[in-house]
Amino acid sequence: MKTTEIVSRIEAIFERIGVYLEDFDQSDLLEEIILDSLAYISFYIEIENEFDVEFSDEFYEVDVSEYTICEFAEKVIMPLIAEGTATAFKNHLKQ
Amino acid sequence: MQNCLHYDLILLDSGYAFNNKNGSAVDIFIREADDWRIAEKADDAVGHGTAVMSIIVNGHNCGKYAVFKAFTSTTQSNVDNVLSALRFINEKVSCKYIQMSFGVRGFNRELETICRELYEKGIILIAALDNCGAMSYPASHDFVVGVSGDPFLKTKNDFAVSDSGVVDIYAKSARQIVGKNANGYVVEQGNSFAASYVSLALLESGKSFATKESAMRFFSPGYSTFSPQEKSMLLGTKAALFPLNKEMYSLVNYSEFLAIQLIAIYDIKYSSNLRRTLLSFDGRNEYVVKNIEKCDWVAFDTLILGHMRELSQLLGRDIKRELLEKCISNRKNAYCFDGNLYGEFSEKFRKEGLILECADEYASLYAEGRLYQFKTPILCVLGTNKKQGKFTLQMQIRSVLQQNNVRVGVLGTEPNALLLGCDEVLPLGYDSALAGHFGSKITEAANYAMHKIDVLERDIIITGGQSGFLPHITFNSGHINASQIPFLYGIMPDGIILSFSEGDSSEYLRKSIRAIEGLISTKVFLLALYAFHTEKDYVIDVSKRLLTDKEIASQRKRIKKDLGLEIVVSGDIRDNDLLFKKIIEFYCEPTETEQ
Repeated sequence: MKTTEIVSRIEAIFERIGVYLEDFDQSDLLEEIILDSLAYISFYIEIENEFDVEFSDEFYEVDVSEYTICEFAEKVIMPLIAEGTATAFKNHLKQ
Repeated sequence: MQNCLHYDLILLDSGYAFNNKNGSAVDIFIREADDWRIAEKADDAVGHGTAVMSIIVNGHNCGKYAVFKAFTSTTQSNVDNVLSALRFINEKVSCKYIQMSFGVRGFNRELETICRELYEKGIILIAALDNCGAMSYPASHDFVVGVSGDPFLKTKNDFAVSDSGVVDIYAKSARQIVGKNANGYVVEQGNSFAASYVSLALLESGKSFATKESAMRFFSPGYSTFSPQEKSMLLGTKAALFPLNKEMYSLVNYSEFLAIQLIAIYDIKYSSNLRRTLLSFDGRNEYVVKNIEKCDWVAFDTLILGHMRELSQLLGRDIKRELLEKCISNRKNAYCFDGNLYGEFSEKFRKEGLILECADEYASLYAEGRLYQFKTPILCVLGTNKKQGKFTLQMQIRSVLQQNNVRVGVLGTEPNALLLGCDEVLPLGYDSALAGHFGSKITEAANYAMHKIDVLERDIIITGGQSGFLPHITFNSGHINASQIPFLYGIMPDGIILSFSEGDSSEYLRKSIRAIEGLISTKVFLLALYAFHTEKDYVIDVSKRLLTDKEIASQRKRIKKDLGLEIVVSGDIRDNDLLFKKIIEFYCEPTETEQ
């Protein structure tokens, strides 16, 4: 799956959980778009359902708020889809 | 020492007009300094005592009675006389019953003490409740038979027993002829006479009663003494909390006040809060948020469960149910902020020997309408909107006063109040049981909660309202915070600190102050600024930022000029001295030098 397709599906998730930006700027940080804890909960549940993945518990202990949408797609979703493991995600963690 | 006299019944009242009536001798005691002696002549200038006693004497003329001339007015009790009379009886007289067809509306520790001593000697005390509908003493003490009249009770043998803990028994009180004097028939009505019918029935029974409960069972075999809600049994235990939301942040921030040992904070993994470090305001306590699915059940005794309705909806599962079941399987107690599932699980916990408590349990509702009057000064924080730091301000006031050795009582209206060491809790906000009620129920519940603190005889009691007082807009009934008015009538604060936001116009604030001061006898003596600029339309908060010092200074100037009041900044310790000064100025009498 290409990054662009993943980004597009993430943008669709934002619409479902109530983020209605006219144009998603792919440099927007997640923390600017996802406003509070309840919104994060909605977001992650939608992500898991949309991509049929299950994040490991370790994933949820990492702060991804400073990722952009694009970075989140490349570094979080793609490795999980490709390798289906949390290790893949960790290898791509923002340093 | 005078030989101990014995009577069947002693009445404290205005006197008695006859030495001997219908074959009954009545000793009339009059006060001389701190002593009491039997008067040679019958005397009752007021007539109340004679009327009250006549019901007993006419009904049971073979008894031995005494009347202590304790007061000389029907509109004002002489508490000093009453206390003196009761102490004299305690030392030098024995009797089966003491009847007091009068009362005082404020709690009086000395009166309670002497009445309790007499009760513990086996004397049954019968007292009339206030005719104006207030709670009054001694009738409102739990060991006194409190009597009220009921217009539907028509004969001397008609009684209605109540287990509400407010009125113990109702009796006939309607207009009735109680005697005759030079001017003709004496017609009276009221609770004073209802009390006489209760006394008469007990005398006529010929039985002896060792306790109030046994006396009440004479009227109703199934009677059981009202048991007020006990204090939480979970205070002092090791506790973990879930989830991390607004009320839970308070438990972290104000850890100096915690009445539990906070061991761990848990949240749902999706919340983005895991591994966050939280620090209390005083910097002494640090917590790292952990995943509830990896809960260390061994490390704590009590799980504190916050509001979870929205969370359960988002997760698509009933997480509160899951956690309550895990508490049982892990042998843990639980404290819930709302009543969701409480009814279903309380028996399950009890059967397992575990404790399940809910903040709503402490909001006692009783339907008698009688209100307590308070002696302790009361300060209330109200606001012009929700999310305005009102709770922060209450904790700041509490801290400032306690640092200055003022004994503070606190009535918390948030569900976490007891966990923060507040004396009583009255949940009034989100998902509270009381939120579904209105009017008199809220007044009575608030009044009762405040009374339980009033009797602790602190220097001052603080409490706070919920949301805003005067609505900014009225497009929806949800904008009208109708519970605030009955709350105010229940607590009757002497002074108000009004929390406001920089966007509140002076005209709106003036209207708010007029509305509050117009409702009850109180004064808005200080304003507290919520120092954030918010973009909103009074319904939805869009964004907020801290006000600058210049903006705060501008607010101080505006409020002083337009309203003649000073302001403090909520949560700003630099204003602690000003906050303390304004509270003391308002609540204390000036000293001679200050005058």
